[in-house]
Amino acid sequence: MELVAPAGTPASLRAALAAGADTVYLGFRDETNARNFPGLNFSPAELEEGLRLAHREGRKVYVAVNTFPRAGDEAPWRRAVDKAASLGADAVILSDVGLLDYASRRHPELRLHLSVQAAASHLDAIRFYAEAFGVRRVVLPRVLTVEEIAALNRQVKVETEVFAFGGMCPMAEGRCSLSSYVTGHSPNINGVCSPASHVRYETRGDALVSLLGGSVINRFLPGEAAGYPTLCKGRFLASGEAGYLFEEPVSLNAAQILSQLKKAGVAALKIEGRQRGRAYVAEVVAAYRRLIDAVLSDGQAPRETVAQLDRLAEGQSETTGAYGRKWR
Amino acid sequence: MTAALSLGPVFFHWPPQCWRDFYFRLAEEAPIDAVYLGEVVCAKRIPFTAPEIEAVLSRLKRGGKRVFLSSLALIGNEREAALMRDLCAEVEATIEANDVGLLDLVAGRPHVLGPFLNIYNESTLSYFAAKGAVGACLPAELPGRSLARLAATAPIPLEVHAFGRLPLAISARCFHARAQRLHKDGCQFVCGRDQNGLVVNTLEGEPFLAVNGLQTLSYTCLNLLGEVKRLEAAGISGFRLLPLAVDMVAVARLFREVLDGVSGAEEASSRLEDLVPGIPFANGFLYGAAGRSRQSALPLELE
Amino acid sequence: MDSPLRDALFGFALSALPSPLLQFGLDFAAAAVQEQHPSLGERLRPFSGARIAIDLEGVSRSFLLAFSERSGRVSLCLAEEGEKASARITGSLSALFALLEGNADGDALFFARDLALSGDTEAVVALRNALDNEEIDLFADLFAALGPFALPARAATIAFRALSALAERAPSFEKAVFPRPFPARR
Repeated sequence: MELVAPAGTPASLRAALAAGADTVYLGFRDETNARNFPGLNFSPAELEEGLRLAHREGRKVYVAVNTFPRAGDEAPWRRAVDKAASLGADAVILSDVGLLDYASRRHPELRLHLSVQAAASHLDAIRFYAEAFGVRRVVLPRVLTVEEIAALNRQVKVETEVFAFGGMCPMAEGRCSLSSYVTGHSPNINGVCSPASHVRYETRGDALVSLLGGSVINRFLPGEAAGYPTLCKGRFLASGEAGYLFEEPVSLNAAQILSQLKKAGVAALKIEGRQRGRAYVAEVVAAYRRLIDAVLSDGQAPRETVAQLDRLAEGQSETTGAYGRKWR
Repeated sequence: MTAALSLGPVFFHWPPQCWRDFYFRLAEEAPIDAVYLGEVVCAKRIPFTAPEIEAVLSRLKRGGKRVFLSSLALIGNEREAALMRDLCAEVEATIEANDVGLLDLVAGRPHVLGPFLNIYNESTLSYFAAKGAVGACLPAELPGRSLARLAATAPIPLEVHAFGRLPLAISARCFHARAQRLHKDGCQFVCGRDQNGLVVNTLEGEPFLAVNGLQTLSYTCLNLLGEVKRLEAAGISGFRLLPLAVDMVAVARLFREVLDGVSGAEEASSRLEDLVPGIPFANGFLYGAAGRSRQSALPLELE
Repeated sequence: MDSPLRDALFGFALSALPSPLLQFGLDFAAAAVQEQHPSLGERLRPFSGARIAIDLEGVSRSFLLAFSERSGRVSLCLAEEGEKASARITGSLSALFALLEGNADGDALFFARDLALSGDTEAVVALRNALDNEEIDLFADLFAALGPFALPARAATIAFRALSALAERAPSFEKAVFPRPFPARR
């Protein structure tokens, strides 16, 4: 199983390579990628240098161009694909049908991966992308159980990549307008979710309150671990009860089920977190390198490595998420 | 020719008889041209309305409505994929495809591209249109500028949402069940308790969103009475009303009157307020602003 | 990483030094870091005009980090009473050092509430992301900026290190104070 690591900056890319990532995925510093966060991402020159570093060690770099091009202004997205192709990226990760069509015709030699933002969650959808555009790998949406992933892999010809660790979307990705409903900025259009530009923290009485677009997303008492106010990970009132209605502020951690994922025929494991720091990237990638090596040699996942991942989890707790049926 | 009015699928889990009677009344009384029918949110609900579908279909057709069968928005497993293959095997029906996986199944025969397909630009629209689509309903979050751009070159008629609680997200997890500390597998169909969705408030009591089973909807109610004429002029040829448990016949009449130039938008809007008590209006997406906002200050960019 | 002695020393200096002398030190440090990390300004350019106030636990003064619109440079100065800022970071010196040098995940610091944030979150996130890319080693940058004076300063630090290691027996202290070419990974 290939270990695919995130990089929001060149420093994270170097950290990921040093920690044993097989592949690093990244995006350009603009709205063409789904982590268009302030101060993050790569210039073409930085990508070129990153490719040089990775290729020197026989590793790979995938470039995510996975937002949806704007009507009347598709050129920036096409340029991003052209740039990635001309610099020698090992694959581009796309989600838009029009852009996939463009890339497959313009760069027939370029390896195309389907982004999780396309939410191809079943056989007919995957087959569509594979046959229409020659997509070679599909990043599966985070809504499938391990059994469903295994069933899919028995039927599809393309590779599948799944998320192993990091922040979870409880929603089908690429089909969520919650952020734009509250802030006017959307993952699909702007490459941001619950953008920092619309986030405020305020102290109200004893509590720290996090707001998004002026609405309270969460409230933390002294000593309580605080989180970033990502909309779907907030606490709300429904039926008179306060709680994490959509998702707890937890990290996905598939450490316990790696051998099941391997048996399910998964080709690559992806770490979420291009917006996280290089210390995080280094630590998670190193831990997963050890886990994968252990699983590939049919050994047990080292317990201390699993414990180490706990500390890095968002909100300091974790879950196997949608991979288990109970999550639903 | 003035723009068509259509009725989107009922997103909520209404009692089957209410569901049927809702369509029976609309078939006869509402100035609606097309009706999208079918379960979009949760496959578990399909058996409830299935026995009534035939009767509703024939009544709608008798009322002169064009009828389309809408697919699920999220197909999560092989069982659901098989259900959708069965749906597409209905040769007499025109399918509204809400997932790209259905496109090969309906290619070559008339079908509609549903709002859950990600059509954000001209390339995607023309790619899909070339497969035989006869129309498309665009995603709810598209700003007016994108709508106008798409309309300017669209090879097929385009429809946009104009009324109702907007679909914002879909998940494999059931939030309605979760709010009652249940799982999806043993959900007891608690989503049936809230005919317009379960309102979600912030911790400070501000109404924020509405959940409907696997789906998350806007708390606010979309109201484009003030914009439909301009959108029509920009080339949008249909407007979709999303059912709420309110007098949808009266809602449809208001939109028809405004489109026909019989009523002014402002006056119609204040009458609409009486029909949808307690749910504030919004139109922000169209202005490129927060979808929940109601814009009057921003210019509507349709260039 | 934690270095109680470093934090205590800095805390003392930031609280007790006369303002003009402290401001000279802040200017020097800001210039030294930017000299060594020219791409910092590039990443922060979209957020020029932002002013981030910094309140440190146990330090009586407040500081202001300003992204200049004109020069594209970042300045660090003592904040005046009631000075306006677009954002405010509050936290311990050790948390701030961790953020500056990228030894800790900024998100993790925040989840554990070692750092608190108010105001314009976007500029702070941009700052955090930009700093993270730079692999800043404050001491190495300062020594580099000292030029011909680097050698005696370095010698003094080594002597200081030996002394305090004796006093503290803190294993992390050495790495924190002694300049190193690459930041250590935890």
